[in-house]
Amino acid sequence: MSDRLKEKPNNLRAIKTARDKDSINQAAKTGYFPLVKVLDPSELIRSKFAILQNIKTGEILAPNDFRCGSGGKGYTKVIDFTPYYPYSFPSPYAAYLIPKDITVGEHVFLEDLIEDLVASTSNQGDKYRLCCCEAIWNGETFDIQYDPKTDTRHFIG
Amino acid sequence: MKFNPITQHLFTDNNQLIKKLNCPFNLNWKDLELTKSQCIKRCQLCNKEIIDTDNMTESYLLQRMKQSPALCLKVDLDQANITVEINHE
Repeated sequence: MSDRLKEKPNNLRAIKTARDKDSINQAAKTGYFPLVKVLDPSELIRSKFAILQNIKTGEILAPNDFRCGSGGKGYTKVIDFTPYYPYSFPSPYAAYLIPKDITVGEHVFLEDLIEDLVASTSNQGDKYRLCCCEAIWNGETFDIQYDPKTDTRHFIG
Repeated sequence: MKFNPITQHLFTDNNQLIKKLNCPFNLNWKDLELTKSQCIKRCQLCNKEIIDTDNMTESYLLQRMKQSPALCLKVDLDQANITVEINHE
């Protein structure tokens, strides 16, 4: 549990995520049960890029924002804005590390969310994923306490 | 200013880091406590001020972060004073 989470008034237990085989196995050896899940990139999560190339030097710019879509003198757009999934992870699976003493109905804090939920949307159509959230252990998995329809977030920190 | 929504780093236009936004509490701006200033709210979990960076200049934010490194910021992707820039290196 991070120092900051200890400060939280309701003192939720923090559940960590392991994102590769070695760290999952290391956690298992130290008493956690790894709840393994397949990463399922959401089609809703999207950023975009374009490629602008300097005709003389060949150098490129790769803007992610329509407002930077010209690149200035000498640049020409060789790839128009193209949507893509902007995240990458070390493995196509990950595991929540479940403490042995977790109880059904326990309210926890998932420090590194495995599931793809939309956290932030821009007026250019980009959508970015939620990184962490509260959840409730139901005995088999976590019921995530976040509704993308009503709980979209600004970036704070 | 430039903002990378993947790493949540906020930079000046000259790539000077202003702050990495790394609040683990998943706060909702509208739920935060109001202050006398329209552009500042207070986090009741950490008892810290959070500055809305909309309409702020990068030089002002750099100065504030230098004075108070633990200060928190709020960024909206639709702000006129930021552009999104994702660096995949």
